[in-house]
Amino acid sequence: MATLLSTENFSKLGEFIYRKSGIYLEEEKHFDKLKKYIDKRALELGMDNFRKYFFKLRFDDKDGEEFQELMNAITVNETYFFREKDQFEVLVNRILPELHQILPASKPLRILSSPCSTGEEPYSMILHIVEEGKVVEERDIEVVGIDIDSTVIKKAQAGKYTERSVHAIPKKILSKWFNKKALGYELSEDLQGTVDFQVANVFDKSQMRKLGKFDVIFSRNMLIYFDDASRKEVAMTFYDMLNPGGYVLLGHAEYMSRIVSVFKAKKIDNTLIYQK
Amino acid sequence: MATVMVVDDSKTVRNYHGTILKSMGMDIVEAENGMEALEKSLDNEIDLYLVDVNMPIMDGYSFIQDLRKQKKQKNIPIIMVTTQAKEEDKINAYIVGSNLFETKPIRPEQLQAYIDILVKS
Amino acid sequence: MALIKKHIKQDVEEFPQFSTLEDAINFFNSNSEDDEKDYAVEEIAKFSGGGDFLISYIDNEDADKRISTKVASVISNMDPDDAPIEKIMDLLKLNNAYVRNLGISILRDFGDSIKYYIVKFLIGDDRDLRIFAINVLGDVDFSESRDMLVELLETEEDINVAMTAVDYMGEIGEEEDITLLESLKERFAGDFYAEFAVDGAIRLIKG
Repeated sequence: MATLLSTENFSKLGEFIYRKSGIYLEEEKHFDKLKKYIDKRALELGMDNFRKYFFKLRFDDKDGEEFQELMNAITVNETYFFREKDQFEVLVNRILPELHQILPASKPLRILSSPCSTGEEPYSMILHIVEEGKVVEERDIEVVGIDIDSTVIKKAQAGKYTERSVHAIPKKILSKWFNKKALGYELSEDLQGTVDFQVANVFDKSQMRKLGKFDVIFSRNMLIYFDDASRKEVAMTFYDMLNPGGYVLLGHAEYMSRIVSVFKAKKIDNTLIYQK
Repeated sequence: MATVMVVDDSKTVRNYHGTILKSMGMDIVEAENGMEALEKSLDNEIDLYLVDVNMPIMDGYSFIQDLRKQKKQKNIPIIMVTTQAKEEDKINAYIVGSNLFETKPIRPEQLQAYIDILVKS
Repeated sequence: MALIKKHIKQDVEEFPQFSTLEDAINFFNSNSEDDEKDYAVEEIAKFSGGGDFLISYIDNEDADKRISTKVASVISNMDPDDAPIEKIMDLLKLNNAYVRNLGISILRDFGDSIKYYIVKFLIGDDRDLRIFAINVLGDVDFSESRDMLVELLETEEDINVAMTAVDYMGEIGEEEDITLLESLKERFAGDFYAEFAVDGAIRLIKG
């Protein structure tokens, strides 16, 4: 059976997804995956053309489940160390050195990871920071990880990871900072406790205020799951949580241009970042 | 090859202006609102901006104001387009730094004339 | 200097609780930090009459754009029944494009709870508001959306309004709408834009 997903349909679907989630679909990256998913899903729904599926997605999806399933099919939900690693590189090579020059000597540099899930993202920051080594020698750095899910926070605090989770860490760094165990890898004692993990809800403004101010916020692949109004709300909360000149980094396929105009867009080492 | 950025929240208008411009040999970059236009202007050498007034997130005037603050964007030609053409809108367009003000959609011949004058090929 | 290993309790200023709208407004007016102003905006919205104050703040040439964005976000999260809808609609008539667009974004976020107003715009004289109303129809789940667009297209004289509707017809239109769409090419004869948009929509309907 020929695929339901023509180039034109792909483009229409892409526009809709972009409107709803801020994710920008690219043919090279997403077409095949989407084609497989749509053909399969349409079959399940007993639909024989793209328009019927598209109509359901747009107008007959009251609780957003159909859209959520589509999102799950396109986005990589898996978290692992060094995912989208150019952002960690920009963090330690460009952002932290710049802020280190500007900040008063006694102030620590504070970085937030939201959502932190099982800790791979904030610990990836830590690994890059200790490997870069220079800034942390001259300045205190605090990394805070928050997530609404208490089970992932517990796991993050344990510091134990699977083979899959560490697959993208260069061998040298892995052997230096992790201890190989029977069931996986454990973060070395030197790095245990370097991330302050907390259960928190980004919509709870008083909770967010108590976390204090940050110089950098990583929020990758969280906002895409919210509706427009909620996305704006959280973006404005992040704005308030940043020190002047602080930065927000979103996921690779996410853009502030879908959300609010209050941040200044900048490109550093080919990575898009947003500054307060 | 010159590049034109078409900034408009209507896909049809972007396609329409884009099609005409491509037939004139221009490369096109599209943006749905002023903020996206700012993001994309970081990546691309733009020779002419075609900017809608009414867009969500960041409107055309705010975009032009921000764009003109950047050193390398001070002199890039900008044509503002709108569905309504009130005198006050025109004046505001020039105040923020637009070069021209037109009602949309722009006729192909008119667009060709602007390209000939504004874009060094 | 090092990686901090313990949880350091942040020295955070506790914001006051307000017992009246006036107290909240005073705090808003007398504090200038972003987070103080934003907190005040959130609190003001909780009081009856707060929405009115917030709208009048953004309905002002000199209003700070960032704070206005915050205000729009807070109002979007209000219960549509409590929100000053009529006042928000007045924003749409302003000359200031930024504020006008904020008003539109608020209404858009309210979605189908403002259906009555969407119809009012669709049959009204302001072409930008007709375009806005069509965009909402396209985004939101109204069962009558297609019928409303068809009805609009039967008599619409403004090319920009008509083509905005045509764009959505490409997505939600049916085979039986093709005749109407073809007729638009006659109504706007000689206009390449109309030809372009209508042909595109018909192509999509035919699948």
